[in-house]
Amino acid sequence: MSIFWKIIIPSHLVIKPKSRNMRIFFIASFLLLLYACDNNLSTIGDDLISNENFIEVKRFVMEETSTIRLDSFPTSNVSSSSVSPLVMGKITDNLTGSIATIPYFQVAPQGFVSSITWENNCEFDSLTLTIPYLKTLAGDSTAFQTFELYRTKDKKYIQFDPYNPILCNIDSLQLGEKLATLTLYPQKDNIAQAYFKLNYDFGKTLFDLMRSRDPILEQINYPQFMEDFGALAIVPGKDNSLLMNIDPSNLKLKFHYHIGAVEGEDMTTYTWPCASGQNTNTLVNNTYAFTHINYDPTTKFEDITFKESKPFDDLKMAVIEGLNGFMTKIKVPFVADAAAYQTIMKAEIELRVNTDLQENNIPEPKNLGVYIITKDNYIKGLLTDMSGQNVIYGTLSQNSVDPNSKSYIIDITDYYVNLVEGGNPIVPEIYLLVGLPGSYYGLSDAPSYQIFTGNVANTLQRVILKEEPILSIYYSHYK
Amino acid sequence: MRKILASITLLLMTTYVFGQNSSGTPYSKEGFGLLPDTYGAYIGMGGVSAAMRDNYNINFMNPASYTALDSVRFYFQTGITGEYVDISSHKTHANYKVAQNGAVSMAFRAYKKLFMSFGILQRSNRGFDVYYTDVVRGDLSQFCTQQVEGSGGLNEAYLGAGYQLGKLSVGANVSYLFGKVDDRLTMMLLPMTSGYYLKTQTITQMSAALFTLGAQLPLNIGKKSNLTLGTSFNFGTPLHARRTFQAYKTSVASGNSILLNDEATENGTIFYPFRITTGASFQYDKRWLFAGDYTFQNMSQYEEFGTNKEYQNYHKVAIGSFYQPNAVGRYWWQRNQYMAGAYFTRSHLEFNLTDINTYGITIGSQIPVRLPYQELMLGIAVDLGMRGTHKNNQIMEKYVKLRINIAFKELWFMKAKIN
Repeated sequence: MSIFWKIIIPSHLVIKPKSRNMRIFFIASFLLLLYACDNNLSTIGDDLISNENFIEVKRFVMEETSTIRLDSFPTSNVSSSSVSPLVMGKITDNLTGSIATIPYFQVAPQGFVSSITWENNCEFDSLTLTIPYLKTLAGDSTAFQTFELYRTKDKKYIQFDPYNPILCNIDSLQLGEKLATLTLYPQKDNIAQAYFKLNYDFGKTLFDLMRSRDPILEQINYPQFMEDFGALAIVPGKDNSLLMNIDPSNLKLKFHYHIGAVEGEDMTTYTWPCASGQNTNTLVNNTYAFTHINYDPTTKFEDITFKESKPFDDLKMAVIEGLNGFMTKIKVPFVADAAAYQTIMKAEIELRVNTDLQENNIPEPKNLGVYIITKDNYIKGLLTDMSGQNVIYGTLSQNSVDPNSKSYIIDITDYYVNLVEGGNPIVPEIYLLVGLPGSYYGLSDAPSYQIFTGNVANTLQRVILKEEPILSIYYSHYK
Repeated sequence: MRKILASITLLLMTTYVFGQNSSGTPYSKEGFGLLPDTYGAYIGMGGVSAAMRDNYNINFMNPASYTALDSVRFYFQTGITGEYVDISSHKTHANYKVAQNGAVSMAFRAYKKLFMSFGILQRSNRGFDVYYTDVVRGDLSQFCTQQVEGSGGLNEAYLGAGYQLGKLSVGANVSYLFGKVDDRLTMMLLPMTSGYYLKTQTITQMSAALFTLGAQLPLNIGKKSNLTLGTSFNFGTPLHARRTFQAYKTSVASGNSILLNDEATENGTIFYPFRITTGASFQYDKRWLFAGDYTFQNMSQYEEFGTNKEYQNYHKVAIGSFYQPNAVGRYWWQRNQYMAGAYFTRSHLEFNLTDINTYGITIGSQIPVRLPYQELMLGIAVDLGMRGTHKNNQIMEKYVKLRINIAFKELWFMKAKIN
């Protein structure tokens, strides 16, 4: 027995204890015991402790769902911070109709080229316009596409108003002389190398202006030059079947010329880029370019406007589409949260996508923009979270088992909770407008003046809803 | 200065114990938690207390025992239990470790045959952390989780006195019971990528004065034999209670919270029922001691805010003994008390027509340590037990507890009068 205890407690501490050592020993033992208890209480007992709290989901089919079409939307840049792509080409779609787009743009001379004078032995060679290809939006990329380059007749219309520098999809200019025709096989590498070769005389005339040092090419006269020159337009052929984005900041007329003997001399060039406020020293903040979109709807969609929507039941679908401006309007049911100890954990709208109607390889967007509107389609704001800072989008989700089962989920929790549980005045009628991601501008003194911006202007993406949207409200019952 | 520092250290340690979860069993969810089945200085003997009296330990379970203490000594006693529990149901298995039943008490003779004691104790233990995973009602393909956590328990600050009337000793502890019961719930949808998660917290704070009376009667029944009878009890006492309930939900994305409920129930009561412990101890030849206790608590009277919780009454039987080779022996192992005991408890809990019983055996030792000008009794006890059952979907807990109890005489708080 004594040996056992001597192992547990050293004998020198017991037989001849020293008080300080003993105190340290006891205190250390205490601390060891205390801190050995980690208090990790992840125990079991869900069978034992009755828990009557639960979460339930209530679902509502939103029958008041319809499709509207934007009357107009800007296709020119609305700010200098980012250059909006232009769209060129044409596509015919059996579902919604055909879309033909014409990019209009102006160029600006960039001063005189010192080596081009009458005194120098300059020889004009050609004038070209390259295609600053960005990406293919939709269509058949295996068929030849024809484009014609025109100069417009209207010479004042393209001039942007510095105080209202917006040109829209419905704006267009009267075409004048044709300067070039381009036929291309629209594969990426081909497009990158493609260019319009403009009428020789037209190019020579412009080159001679440079050679003669015409004052119209001086910077102070750029606005006058642009007014006289007018705009250029790329018109798709009537049989075209492709839409693509081009980059206006890289649109430029390129003058090719020689100095001295043609043979044995390298060809040299100078360019006139797409005009902008920066390179013309004018007041506008954007690029002098926009896209005219000519939409020719199918019979099913021809009566749809911004004010006159078409119900889901009539179309047997609802549509969201870029370039032609289709958006889906939804009336969200107002379900008062009256029960005690019950609250909304989540509220979301599910838009189930029809993946059977695939045509022209028109892709689905990853996200959808959601606008809060009145019954009369007046925009009250973008859907945001509780902070008001973070915009809520509809996000595409795909069933991992069935890839064709796709839907967009719009998390309206914060907005909905604020309406049904918050202290703000209750708005029993809740309308949302769902379209491609973007934003809007409105004037407070002219509430009817609202414009949509964003992907609708330069992106051909489409969502077809096969069912009326479903609102799912998750309630927790917590006491 | 050293005494002050040592006091602060012990106080901090005790505070640490009082501030943390003292249990991990879901059985502690009910009421104000689980009352400890074994407590005090005699855990090595099955936790007997009613008839236990000696001049080393402050037996605060029975205030009449204070009269057995030395008349010229100041006593300081502290104890703590560490518990390791293997907890299992018919389908799963887990474990937890906690510190519990911390106690600090002091005692001294106040006047001739009047002895006083005061201290602070943990009266009940409460703590659990349980997860539930359920389907969302209305959509069997979606799931949600709930986390139910609980903590708290009752504490007791007491001031007691024991007085000797001939052979009979009587005593009383005037206690201030205080504590809180904290229940927390967290609900969330899975996956938690959007929307809100919800938290609720129900806190019940309670306090009241509690009077515990005790008596002990030592009897010589032979040259070598002593018998002591003892009892201690308290009457049913309503505890003043205040309950608050708060619920709020928090946005997963932004972290912003919305307060849903903020309620308070004032002036409620929780009824702490009558409890009595009665027992006897028999000492033979100053070497052997045998003791037995029976404890009853009328838990069927337990009420919370006017609602009877329909518990069943609490019963406990404990027996224990120790062997001390030679109380005045030269060597410590001769003076040592070798303890063993056992106990059985039928708790107030019944689930699914199944009683939640506890069985335990204990072994321990009280090691006397003689220090210069001081005396110390180091009590170490191991409690091996089993609570609950797997029957009817209940939970079984197999636990081992290590109790360390240290009782000082004249240590730190009293200077020697004669060097």
